[in-house]
Amino acid sequence: MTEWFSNTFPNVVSLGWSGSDGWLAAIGQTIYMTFWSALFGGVLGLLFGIGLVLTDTKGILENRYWFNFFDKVVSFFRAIPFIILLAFIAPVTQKIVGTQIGTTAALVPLSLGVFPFYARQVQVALTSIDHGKIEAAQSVGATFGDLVFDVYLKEARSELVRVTTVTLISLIGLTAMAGAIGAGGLGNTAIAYGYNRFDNDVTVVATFLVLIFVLIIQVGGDYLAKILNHKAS
Amino acid sequence: MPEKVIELSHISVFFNQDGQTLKAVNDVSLDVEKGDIYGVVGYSGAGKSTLVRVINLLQRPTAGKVVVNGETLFEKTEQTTTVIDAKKLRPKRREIGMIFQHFNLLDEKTVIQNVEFALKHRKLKEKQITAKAQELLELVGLGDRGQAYPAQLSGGQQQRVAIARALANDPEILISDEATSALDPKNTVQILELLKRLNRELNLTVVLITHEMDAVKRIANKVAVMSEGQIVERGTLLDIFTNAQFPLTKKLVGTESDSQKAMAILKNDHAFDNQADQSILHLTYRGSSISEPVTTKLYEDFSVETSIVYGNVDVLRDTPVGTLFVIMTGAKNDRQQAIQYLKAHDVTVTEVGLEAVKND
Repeated sequence: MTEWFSNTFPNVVSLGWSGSDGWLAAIGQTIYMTFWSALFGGVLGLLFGIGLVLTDTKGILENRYWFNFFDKVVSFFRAIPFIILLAFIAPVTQKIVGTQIGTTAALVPLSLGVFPFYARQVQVALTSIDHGKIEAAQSVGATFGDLVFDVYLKEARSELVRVTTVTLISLIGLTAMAGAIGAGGLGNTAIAYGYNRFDNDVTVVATFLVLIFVLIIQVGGDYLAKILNHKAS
Repeated sequence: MPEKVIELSHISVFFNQDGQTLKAVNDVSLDVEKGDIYGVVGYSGAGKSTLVRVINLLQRPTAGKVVVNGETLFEKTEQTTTVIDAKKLRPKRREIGMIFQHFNLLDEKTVIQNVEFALKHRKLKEKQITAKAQELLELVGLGDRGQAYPAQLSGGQQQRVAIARALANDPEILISDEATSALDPKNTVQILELLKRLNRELNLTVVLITHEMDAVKRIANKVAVMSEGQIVERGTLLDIFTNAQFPLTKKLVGTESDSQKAMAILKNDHAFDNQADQSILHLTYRGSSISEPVTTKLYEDFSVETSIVYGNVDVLRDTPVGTLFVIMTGAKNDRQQAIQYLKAHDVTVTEVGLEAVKND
């Protein structure tokens, strides 16, 4: 078995498991980038998504100026192709992280790249809540906090899990590009050690590992969305 | 004088739509007294829902004054606008329960959590909140379904949960916005009977918005008819049913269809010869004040013959109300005496002109 593997995927084996170019490092970098940028970008996206819904027409904080602010910021960042954003945002990254390259530096563009996408998804999820539920809650004297947490977020939780799954998968896609600023990760392995060196076996294995990540997130997300849903089908 | 619990004065609600002003509610005043079940009827788009949303300020009016339990929630004059502040509005809203056409329960909370949600800001211990919620569920007959999710219940059951939630803060007023419109006839009757029971047992004032006249007939004591943002007719249930003036009211309460049917029969009736000694009468009576012996009595005492063309009985809040179209034949003087007799016995008599038969 081992012999078959080293014959079929010679360059995969020669890259090695540990070491700075190794598979373990690449997998670790992908998880690191996905986790932290999902956290920062997720919080930012959630805030903007909630902001968009609350300040929209008929929202409980209807306010045209704030709505326009959220809307324009989200649209602006969504309009920039990620590979360009990496370069565009470099001076800001420099200020925040102290360097423009490397895995940690990649968190800034990754977070900014993923948050507008997530904000739009959250907006759609929250907009799907029937206005009648808001009215009913208001009629029993619900506070602002009750409306946001007990009505908007709780009622949409299954839908939020679903959009989070989609966002995470698209975020893994973005981390693959972060190799361009030296952030490493499986995407970088596939391109730098696979494609560029004509070592196709490396590309195949890197792709396969990315697919496993996606699969885990998809299956986990679907399951969670299902058990959190009590609406009539 | 019974106490007024809701006073809406000169309420207008205008919406701007594509540069046009839509007058959803136009200068409407409505007083509801304690213990009333006040039916507000009209076709959809008449402004009923918008009007009642003003009571708890879910809808802020463009002009007018809103007073609930003696406290002014909103007042807009030409100079000033006074609105109760948000902190005071929340407890005030808890004095006004509201139920909706589509129940509007929170799907991700269990039945009991839905009721507990309304009790969240009461200064009670968690145990007391649960106990109170359970008590409310028992009041609406769902004591054993607390752990279910709304989607697992039937429409009628969901509306009961919504009623329990609306009653959580012991409100004196319950607004029912088309609450039975999405239910089947059996559940509709059950919900209406429940509202009637709550009205009786808790002295709950109910504002019943509906386009279904049957709901109003069953439980309301007063009725307002809305059309194009205005109340076109109002009165006690009996008044509205026996003495409707406005064409829309007649249509809604069915008097129009009654007289149409009667006219159709008369047209084809050869017994009716348009003779001078005959008159067509529209009789409305309460309870069982008229029945077969009356016809006999009219014949014996006043020598007039009465033949029934069309008859119908409605039940208004447990009181039967009858409608009869009759042809009375006899000397003019006798007929007048007979009519006097009927009037003296609480029968509303309207003479139907011959033109009405011919022209119809």
